[in-house]
Amino acid sequence: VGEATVGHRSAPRRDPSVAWRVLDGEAVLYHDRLGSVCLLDPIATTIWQELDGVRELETISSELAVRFGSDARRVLDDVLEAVASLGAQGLIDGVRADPGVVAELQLPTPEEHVRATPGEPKYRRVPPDG
Amino acid sequence: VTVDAETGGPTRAPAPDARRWAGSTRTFDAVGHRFAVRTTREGLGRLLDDAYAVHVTTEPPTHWYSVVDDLPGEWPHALLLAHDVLARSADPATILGHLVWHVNQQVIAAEDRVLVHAGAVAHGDRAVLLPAAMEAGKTTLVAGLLLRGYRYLSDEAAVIDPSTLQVLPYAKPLSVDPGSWPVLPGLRPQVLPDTVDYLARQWQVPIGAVPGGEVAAPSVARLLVFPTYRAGAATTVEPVRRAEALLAVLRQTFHLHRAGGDKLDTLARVVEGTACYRLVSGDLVQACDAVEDLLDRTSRDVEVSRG
Repeated sequence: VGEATVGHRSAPRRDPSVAWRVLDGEAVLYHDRLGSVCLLDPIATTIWQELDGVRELETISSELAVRFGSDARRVLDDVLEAVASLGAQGLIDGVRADPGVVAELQLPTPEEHVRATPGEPKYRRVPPDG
Repeated sequence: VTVDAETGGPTRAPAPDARRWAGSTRTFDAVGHRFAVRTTREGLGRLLDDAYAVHVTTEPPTHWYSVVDDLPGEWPHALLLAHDVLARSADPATILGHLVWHVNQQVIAAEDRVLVHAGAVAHGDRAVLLPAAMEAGKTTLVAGLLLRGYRYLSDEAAVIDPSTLQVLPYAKPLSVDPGSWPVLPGLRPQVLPDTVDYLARQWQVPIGAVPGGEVAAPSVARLLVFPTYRAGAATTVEPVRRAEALLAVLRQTFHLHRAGGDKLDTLARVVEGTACYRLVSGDLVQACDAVEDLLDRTSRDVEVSRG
């Protein structure tokens, strides 16, 4: 898999830093290294599950075309588009992520979760030893 | 004593042990954070003892907070942890808010639990989770449901045990903002006169002070509602797909970066067992009605699937 491009002869692999679960046909992904989360629609989920790093996209597309009774060329186009999107999100091993895309998927910091202090803080932190 | 150039006060308070304390609490164990508080005002000690009473333990505290109101300078009010000043202010309410915030911070750091920024209540053995960012109305909705007989788990953090998927109580005092005081007048804390100014910005309401308020036993979540308070809005409810709900819950999960894969797995199992909805409302009564209706509907669905 190249740094920025994925072609029909590529055999992309899911990034091993990504934990994921499928609920009702949609995958929810958590990228441990990037601290990002995302949701895949059913089509992207199906493709995601096939990315084993062994089979080429052309092969995967042919299998999916048979499984869903679809045109192989059209399926390949969809797969290439989906993998490019997954790559931009930093989800494909060896494909450079798009920082702008990743930034939108990153989680808030813990500090953003809990109110700092109610109202206007009229205090300031004081070092323990002055 | 080292004098702070800006405030004119000391940066380290006089040794807490040398003081005469007007109030103090028993020791509490809130999700592993074992603490006690002593105060220079009797009423505040009583309020705090009530506020965390559900978490009382016989073990000694590992953290001693002190709330003092007599430091020299313009900012006489302070919160200390052992001898270190955590916060100083001219306003006692800020100090109480900071204490509650600091305890929250220690609780959400718990390593062996999954904590979600959410209100949580239970009805029977079914928990209702209300995940939302701050200012979404979690505490108000939780309080409204408590007044209808629901039992309390938390108004701030749903604590989930990964091994049982049960939601455990973190029964902190309900932190009720002034905007909600008119719709929850019965929750105004009854405190000694020396403590009234500590509650001027936010009520800290012990669960025992809520009429009929009781803490729930650990319960498994059956309903997930994402609440949004919007002033003047009509009440609307719409279903949320489970994957979408899981994504939203992950966004409200504390410290997901620690063992995130395991937390994802735990939360996915929680979400798989729930019905998920989004609730927008500008009316507390209607919002509570909606949650009750959804829980009833969930129960009926379970009975149908069993039948």
